[in-house]
Amino acid sequence: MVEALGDETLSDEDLLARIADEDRSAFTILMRRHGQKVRGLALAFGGRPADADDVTQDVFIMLWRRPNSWQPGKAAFTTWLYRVVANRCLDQARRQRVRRWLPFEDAADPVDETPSALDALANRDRLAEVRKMILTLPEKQRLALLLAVQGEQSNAEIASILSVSEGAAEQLLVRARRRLRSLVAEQEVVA
Amino acid sequence: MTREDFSEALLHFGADLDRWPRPEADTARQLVDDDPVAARMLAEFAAFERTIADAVEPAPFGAAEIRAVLTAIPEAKNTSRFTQGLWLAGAAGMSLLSFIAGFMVMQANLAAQDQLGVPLAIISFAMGDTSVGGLM
Repeated sequence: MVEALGDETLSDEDLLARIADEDRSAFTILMRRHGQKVRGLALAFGGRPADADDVTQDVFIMLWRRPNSWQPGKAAFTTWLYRVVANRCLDQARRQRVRRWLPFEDAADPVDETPSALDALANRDRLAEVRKMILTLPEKQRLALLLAVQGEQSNAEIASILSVSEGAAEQLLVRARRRLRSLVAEQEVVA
Repeated sequence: MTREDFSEALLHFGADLDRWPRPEADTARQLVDDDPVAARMLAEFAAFERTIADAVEPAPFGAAEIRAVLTAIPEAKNTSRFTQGLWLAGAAGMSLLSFIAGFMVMQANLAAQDQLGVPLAIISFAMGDTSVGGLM
């Protein structure tokens, strides 16, 4: 897994071309460049580390198998990648909803709430509460908000990722921010 | 732009005025400069967004995570090749079975042709063909 120094500066398009030739070092660079975004969105969306790992692995294995899935002329690689992750997250949430109705449902992984030394700190507790509040948002509102805050995507990019109009993306953001702001304000009143 | 308009625009575009559409951003900057209440609204919204960003700050995607994906790849590839092989073997098997079945049906038909002579002659006779040869 040794990469030439210059490889780090290769564009995503060049890396994908190398991945098509089964170049593992190019694949490693691509994961290093985008892994945090992919796993970060999946984890913030679903709240369960194991599910986020599944989505991350699924997305990158798809990229390894089909590096030509991204069409450079159509959307920026990051926009396209976020779209893939968002769809995987929504699929996973759908499957979990179905499983909840089945009699042989596996017990869902609980959200990790193990108290730790760090969680004892008030700010950590507060952020953990905010994470839980985010999880209460409807799925598309949650994705729109996370793409804006964590992914730093513009409203137009969010619209493209979620395959909705820009106006619809803005409405998702407005509802998510309004709801979350009200929840955070309530929490602060209680605290 | 009124404070209400500004509050609504914050929900649409967020606290970073650089990411707003240009005309709205210019008007908002003017309002924030002139109105301390609007300036406080912007500061509070920015603090709210920072809280969300801190809450969902992604963990680093390091060597362990990369290794986990790389470890899954050979399995994925092998699974893919295994699956492809399975499909090919299945298709070949089905073709062979079809061939054998066709062959058996053909044999059965050939064997039955001797017994078909009588019914065919009866049908021909019924249709007015009297030259049914050895049958009559």
